[in-house]
Amino acid sequence: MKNPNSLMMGLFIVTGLLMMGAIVLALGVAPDPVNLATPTERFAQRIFYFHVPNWWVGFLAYLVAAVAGVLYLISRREQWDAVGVSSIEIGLAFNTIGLISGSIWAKPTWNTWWTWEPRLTTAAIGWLMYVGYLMLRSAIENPHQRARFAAVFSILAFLDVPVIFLAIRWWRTIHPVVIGGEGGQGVGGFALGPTIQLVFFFCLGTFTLLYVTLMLVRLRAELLSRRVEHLRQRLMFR
Amino acid sequence: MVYLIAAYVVVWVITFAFVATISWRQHQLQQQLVWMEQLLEVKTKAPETDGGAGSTPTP
Repeated sequence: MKNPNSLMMGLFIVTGLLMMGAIVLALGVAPDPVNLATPTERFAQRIFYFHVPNWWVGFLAYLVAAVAGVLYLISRREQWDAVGVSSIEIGLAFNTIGLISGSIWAKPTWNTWWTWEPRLTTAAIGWLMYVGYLMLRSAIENPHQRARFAAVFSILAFLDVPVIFLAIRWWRTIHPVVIGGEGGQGVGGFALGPTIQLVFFFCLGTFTLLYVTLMLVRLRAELLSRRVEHLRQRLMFR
Repeated sequence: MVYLIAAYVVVWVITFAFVATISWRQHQLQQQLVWMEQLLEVKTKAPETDGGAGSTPTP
């Protein structure tokens, strides 16, 4: 079997190369959507290639955490708690990027950094809930109780994810419906042409790989920290 | 153009900061782990040298 460190390094290199490829495709290869009139709107539209994959990774990370939460409650195995917290930390980092990049896109397109419309409001609620998850964890000292509460919290918080995704389909909103929409819906919306679709799915795949890579690294650190904690306990009671 | 650059800078800065934080944390943990394992080894050996069976008494 190969050294896990060299496998990890290989994964890092592949992810880095794909990320560079995604930048080249998003900035240089993807065509401008025909319905966007001004150059500012057209430039801002290219944020889409990273903004949506960021949200996708966030949702995927929260799903993994919710599944890990269920598995923890069934098995009470500490590893599932480690998977949950690692995944939520990554999801939160990506969601933070998603919120900021969305806000930067909104300024030239909607002429405002933020508006309390359904998609943005539900997204902000979701983000706050997951920040609350990390705060809850840091507030509980007993590791078993912390893991149990965190598992339940991650399952409940995940209920917001489908609401965030469907908010632009359920309610009247200015946020564009690009995926599965008819193209021109919302302010700043556009149709997914074949090249745009290709670049978009390439970015989506690359970000998914980035999630897997980060998850492996973060999980390793989490398991290491638990080992250190166990050793500390052993030393204290010797 | 400014908005596009700003958004890409945000994406990369946060991603790199996150990766750097994890690597730094992992490095710290590895150091702690080595130190604790050494300490545990010393503590485990200590009772033997203090007068356990077959041990060499300290002068």
